[in-house]
Amino acid sequence: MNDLNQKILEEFLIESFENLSSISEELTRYEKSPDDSELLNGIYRKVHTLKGSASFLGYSTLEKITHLTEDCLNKLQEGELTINSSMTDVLLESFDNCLTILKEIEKTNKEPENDFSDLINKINNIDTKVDEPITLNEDENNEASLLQFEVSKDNHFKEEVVEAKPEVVKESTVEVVKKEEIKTSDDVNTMSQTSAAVDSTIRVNVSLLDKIMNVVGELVLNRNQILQYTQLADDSELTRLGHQLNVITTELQTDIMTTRMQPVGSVFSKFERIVRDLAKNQKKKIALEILGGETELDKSLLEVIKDPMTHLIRNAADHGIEFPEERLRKGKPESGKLVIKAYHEGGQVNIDIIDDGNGLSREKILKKAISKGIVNEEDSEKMSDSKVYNLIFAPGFSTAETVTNISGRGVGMDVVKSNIEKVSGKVEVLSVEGQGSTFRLKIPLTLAIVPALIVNGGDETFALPQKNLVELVLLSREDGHKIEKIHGNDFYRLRGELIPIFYLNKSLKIKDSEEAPSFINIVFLKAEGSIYGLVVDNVRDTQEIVVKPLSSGIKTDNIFAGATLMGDGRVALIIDAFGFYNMFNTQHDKSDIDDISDKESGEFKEEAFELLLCQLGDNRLYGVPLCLVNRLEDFELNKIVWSGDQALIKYRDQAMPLLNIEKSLSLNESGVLDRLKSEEKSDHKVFIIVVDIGTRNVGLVVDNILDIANLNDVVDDKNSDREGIMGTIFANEKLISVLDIHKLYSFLNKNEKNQSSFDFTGKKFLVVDDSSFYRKIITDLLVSCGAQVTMFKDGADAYDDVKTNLAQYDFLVTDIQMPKMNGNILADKVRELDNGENLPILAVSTLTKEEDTSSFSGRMKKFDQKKFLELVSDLI
Amino acid sequence: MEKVQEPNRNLAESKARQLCGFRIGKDFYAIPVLEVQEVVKPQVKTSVPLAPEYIDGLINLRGQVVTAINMRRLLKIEDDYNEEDYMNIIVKHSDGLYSLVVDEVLDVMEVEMDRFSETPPTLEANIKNYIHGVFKLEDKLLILLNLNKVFEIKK
Repeated sequence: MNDLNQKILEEFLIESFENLSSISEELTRYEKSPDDSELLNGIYRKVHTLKGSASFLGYSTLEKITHLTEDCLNKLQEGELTINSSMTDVLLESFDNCLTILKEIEKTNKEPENDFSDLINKINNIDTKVDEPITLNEDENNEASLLQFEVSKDNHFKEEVVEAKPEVVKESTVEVVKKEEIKTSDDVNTMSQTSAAVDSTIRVNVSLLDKIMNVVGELVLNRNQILQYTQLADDSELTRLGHQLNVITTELQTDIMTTRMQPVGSVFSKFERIVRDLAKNQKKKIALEILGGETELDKSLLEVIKDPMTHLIRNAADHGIEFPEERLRKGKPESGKLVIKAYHEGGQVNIDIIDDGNGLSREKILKKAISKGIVNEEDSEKMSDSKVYNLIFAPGFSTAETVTNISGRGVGMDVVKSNIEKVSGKVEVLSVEGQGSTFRLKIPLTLAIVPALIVNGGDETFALPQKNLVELVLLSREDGHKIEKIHGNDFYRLRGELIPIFYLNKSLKIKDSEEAPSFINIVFLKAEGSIYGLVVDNVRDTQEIVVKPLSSGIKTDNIFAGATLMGDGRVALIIDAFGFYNMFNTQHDKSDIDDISDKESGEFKEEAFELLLCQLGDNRLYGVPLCLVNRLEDFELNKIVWSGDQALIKYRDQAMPLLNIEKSLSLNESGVLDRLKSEEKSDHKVFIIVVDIGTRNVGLVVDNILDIANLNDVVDDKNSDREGIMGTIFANEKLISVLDIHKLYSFLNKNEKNQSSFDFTGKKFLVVDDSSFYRKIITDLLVSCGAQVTMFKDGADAYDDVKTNLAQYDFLVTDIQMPKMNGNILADKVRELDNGENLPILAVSTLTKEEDTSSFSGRMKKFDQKKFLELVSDLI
Repeated sequence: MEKVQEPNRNLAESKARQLCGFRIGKDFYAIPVLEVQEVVKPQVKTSVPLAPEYIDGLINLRGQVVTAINMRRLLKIEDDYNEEDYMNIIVKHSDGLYSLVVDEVLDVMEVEMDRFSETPPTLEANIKNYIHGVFKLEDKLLILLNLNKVFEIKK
């Protein structure tokens, strides 16, 4: 397709997406207020535009659907039909399908080949009652080469399209469409409105706005530099010009910022549809109220809050608001109320999502949190309500007892929190049990330019964002005793409240400047509800600073939110008040969930491995070594066949045995499968982890699959209380029982012969690895192929043995990084032994690149079972 | 559409030949010349508290914040040298601009691939990590740095 066409197509796509994005919401609104003919006209116009463009570009399926939809809307306009719920459904479906088609066009330039006849039938059926034959004008029909079908349904609009046709040649699609729009509109008012809108707005690429924003950022810096310079120079004309520049720049900056501002309503209106669908699906009654939709927010921020908000709203509708019967029983009105409210507060925008449903249950949350090991029972009693409520943002937490397809996978709330925090926003939750809950998102107005307080520590300059600033206190040296000590920690009594004090220089290990400052400057900062004081050497002034990102390597601890450039051209670091507090607050509250995420960025030891976390019936966390996992699948219960007591499922044309882990572990008399079977939900999904045992697939039946944990700790095998559990390990302070898959498999298959295609029967292996986890996995794998294995946990022990018993072994598998003697030295030393050069040595390591000796016969990365077995059988 | 050719970081596998050479201590190093944005003289640096010690600090390059990596400290090269006498090689990376702080910048040179050999295994493991391999030139050895590893800042 040539460039011009491509451009027209792009324009078409942009416009159509824009139109369709709001159309569903408008329709849902119209359903509620069918008297609003203006709204209907708007919807009608949009569909008509789409139809026109589709026909011009030759997208026949899209044209057909829009054409029929338009017909239907026309009848609404004429009063031949009145809107009802099922009609809305069909119309919404048709809009959804249009979107699908457009997305496909965007990708491939072609319409999808799906069959839309079902939808077309549905639309046709809406208006069967009023469908009347329309006579068709012969000559028009001939001329309408662009409209290839369904013309007979509607001659009114065909005329318009045809009329517009000659202009198509010389003007872009958009304009043509606009003209049609104007002509087709019967309503004079709308016409003038539309054209006014066309004249006074233009569409600007967001990336261009971003670029302008960046340049203005540079300009602001430059202005700051010039202002600083003019203050030094004794030239009144220069000072005057500098002042002027200051005013103009500030104005430009504000204006540019406003171009990026968009009313939050554009996002909110999407929720009308979501809530409507949810309520219908769940057979609940929910009235959605949107307030403050005109509040404006930076466009990039709007994008970011969309998903978290959707999640919160789904949650509120799904878990928060009760079913009508339950509501009546509780003496609440039958219809639940969901309010979305946006408003300005203290330099930021707050968005409240308020429901009058169940509210959060302290008990339930605590029970869940304790069972997941997020808090311990002792601490839980002392926790304030708000702290308890905040637990729902912990990773892996979900209170809904059953997981619906709407919400509640237990991965949502922590994502909500982290997404909002990414744009330096906050999420707060207020709740009264039984009466409802409020989620409050606090979003900064913009990100790029922020007012900040400039301070000194030693010879360094730092910026403290104004939004964290509470107040400044200046103490003379003589008043130094007002900073009091408890156990070596410093505190200051600020109007009776005991506030912890940190020292900037000491915390950041900055050298004090030579002359001690004559005053003690304390900057009080607030961070996530805590207030603390920071002693700095000098407080300079406040400035509008431009936030520049830091490279990922140096922001790991989150002490710094970024960097900025000062008037003198030097770089200054921006202190992240919250990150700083977390870093230096020594009285870390262990139950504080914020710790969990911080720990994740901790140091890595070399021997990392991954566990797939899942749940069985008992709410504990179980881990399956990820290197054994082949795929994750879900099957409907009725797909499972039973051979005696053994459940099987057809998987890749083979019967795959399913392991009822709970039974095998004797956790439960009945496993997940039995439970589901007895509930007789034959279409219930069963989660299955397909693991490789040797070369065979086995399905593990689990209640729920949660997450993957990346661990570098040692699996503690002392706490293995039963056969089938390899040991335990902590991840994010949660206890995980690591499943011993080979053992579990052996329960299943006491009689079955090894089916592996690799056979090492009679071979003796020496396995050396300091990680008990990998030692076990390698050994089990080899044993399952008939080999005999001797294990050692470091090179030194292994060498002691192999020194004397070399002749006994047929193969040596070794890790490289090990205490006492590493794999390289071990291999070298083995080679030096008599006949040592003949022993195959395979190095298995987590690291990809490292020193390794030529003594190895082969090496591989940890850990691919199949590759391992192939390598072994090649080398042996 | 024609496929745009990306500068290949993994020089060992590609046929790229143009290198920007520089000196650190007594050794000669190189990176592909296409990686180099520019070379600038010493700039005012702002140190980053609590960062690894080989992070020299942040510099302001015409409004952009650049993270300066002291190659001497990264590669643990310790001999007498003049602290003030160095050059910044500015390299653009996916998460921002970096400066390699080196003693001296040499010319851009054409090097043939058949002079390339893999990193000798006897080098210290943590140093070897930063190196792709070595070009055996007539008068000297030219060590090819692995920039991805250099920018992978760990504590």
